[in-house]
Amino acid sequence: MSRLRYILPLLVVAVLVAAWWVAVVVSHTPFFPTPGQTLTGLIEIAKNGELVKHVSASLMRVAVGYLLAAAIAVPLGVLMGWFPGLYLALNPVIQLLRPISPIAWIPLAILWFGVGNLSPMFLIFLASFFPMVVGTASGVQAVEKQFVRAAQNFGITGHRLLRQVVFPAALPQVITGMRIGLGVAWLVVVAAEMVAINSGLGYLIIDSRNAGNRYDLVVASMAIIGVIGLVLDSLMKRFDNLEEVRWRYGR
Amino acid sequence: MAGSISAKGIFKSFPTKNGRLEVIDNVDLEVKDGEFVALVGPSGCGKSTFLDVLAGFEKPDSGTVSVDGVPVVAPDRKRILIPQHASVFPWLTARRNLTFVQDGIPEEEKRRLALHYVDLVGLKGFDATYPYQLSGGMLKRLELARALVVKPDILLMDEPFGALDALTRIKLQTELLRILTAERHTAVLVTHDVHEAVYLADRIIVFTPRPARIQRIVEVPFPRPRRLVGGDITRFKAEVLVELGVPPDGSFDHAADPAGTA
Repeated sequence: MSRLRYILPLLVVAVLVAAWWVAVVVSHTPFFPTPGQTLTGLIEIAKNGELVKHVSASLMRVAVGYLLAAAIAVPLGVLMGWFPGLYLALNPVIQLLRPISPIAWIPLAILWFGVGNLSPMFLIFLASFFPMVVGTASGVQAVEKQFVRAAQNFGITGHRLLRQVVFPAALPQVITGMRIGLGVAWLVVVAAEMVAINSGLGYLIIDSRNAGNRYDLVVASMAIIGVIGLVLDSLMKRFDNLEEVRWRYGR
Repeated sequence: MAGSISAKGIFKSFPTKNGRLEVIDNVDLEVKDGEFVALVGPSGCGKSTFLDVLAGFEKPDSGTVSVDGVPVVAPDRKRILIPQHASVFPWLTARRNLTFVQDGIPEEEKRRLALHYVDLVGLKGFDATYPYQLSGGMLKRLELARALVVKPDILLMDEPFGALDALTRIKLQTELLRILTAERHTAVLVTHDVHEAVYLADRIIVFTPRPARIQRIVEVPFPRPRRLVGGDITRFKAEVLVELGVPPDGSFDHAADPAGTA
């Protein structure tokens, strides 16, 4: 069974790539690249250093925006989940801002932060902040009362109760929120880099199209975005195997 | 070891959509230091709420609870409540559950005590195990160990063995007696299992259906260790069951159970 977990998806990918190849050859399209041309394009940008440059630019922006968002959203979510008054006060504002796509913020981001790195970082911050604060708050609200009662019975109160009982009890849901946040961050960085910036995978896609219709590089960049997204998500999934959270899934 | 409980004139009600729901109606109870008292009554009668009041989790509408003459106003590590459902921390190993709740002693001593109580409840070798890897019976043992490790004066148990299979329940009841004989805690046990009450308690308090009033207090006349079966014990159990509206011939008096709880 464990081998099938890899063989079956790889088979599907192989079939899709073959269909893509056949479709390009049969249709004689002048622009759309074959898988072979895409691979050649990928090797080209890998060799001349473009790929590493753009991938690391995107990852750096995601890292800064996402980590900053996590550092604020998780503690805030814990407090919101624990203090009903704070939740009542802040939740409506959060629910109002949350449906606004980070893409809609691009003009304001450029107005406030200019066309450098800060704009995309701000957009990533926005995009990943909301899933994390909402996930953490609802995780804390769902903490089973008997853990809190037991802790109080043993004289564990105040910030120790919050840090050492409520937070670990909510941790599985906090991690789920962080995983969703990272996924959204990776979605948004590409869009953010398509506007007024000159590095990153989003820029690479737009620039490849504008500079001579290099659709082989467009598709190659898209594939790289997919692979990195998959790697990021499976890294986050690993947290579910930590002993401190496995109780949630282990039964 | 001290741990005498005195509850006087306890009233307790909860707000509902249709006005206040009376749960406890003027209950007085004295528990002596080192005594084992069982509270039995139909389910939903308010005995768990009464235990919460003794623990300090619920404030009575009127009346007072005091332990060794000191009024109870909040939960305290001198009175540990063992709830019906597992409350050990699932993100900590068995041993870390026991070290986490200790306070004011060196780490080395916490660790030693933790291992001592893990052994005492029969979980030797499971100190590094996480709760989700333990069976229901083992979880109860861990729950008991965590309560004992802080050396409380009083153990308050809310149907601790209710969710276990019959065989595991009997084993744990025997173990509980062995441990309490060694540690001499005052114990209050809420149960709807008359057999359990007769087997474990010095005194049985029979509660009425909600709102809970004390219907009868029965001294259990048998010395420990008690046999699980036998003519005297069976007759005695039948007597307690009559108090709960279940006559020995099995004919059930529906008038005595207006809430339809049986």
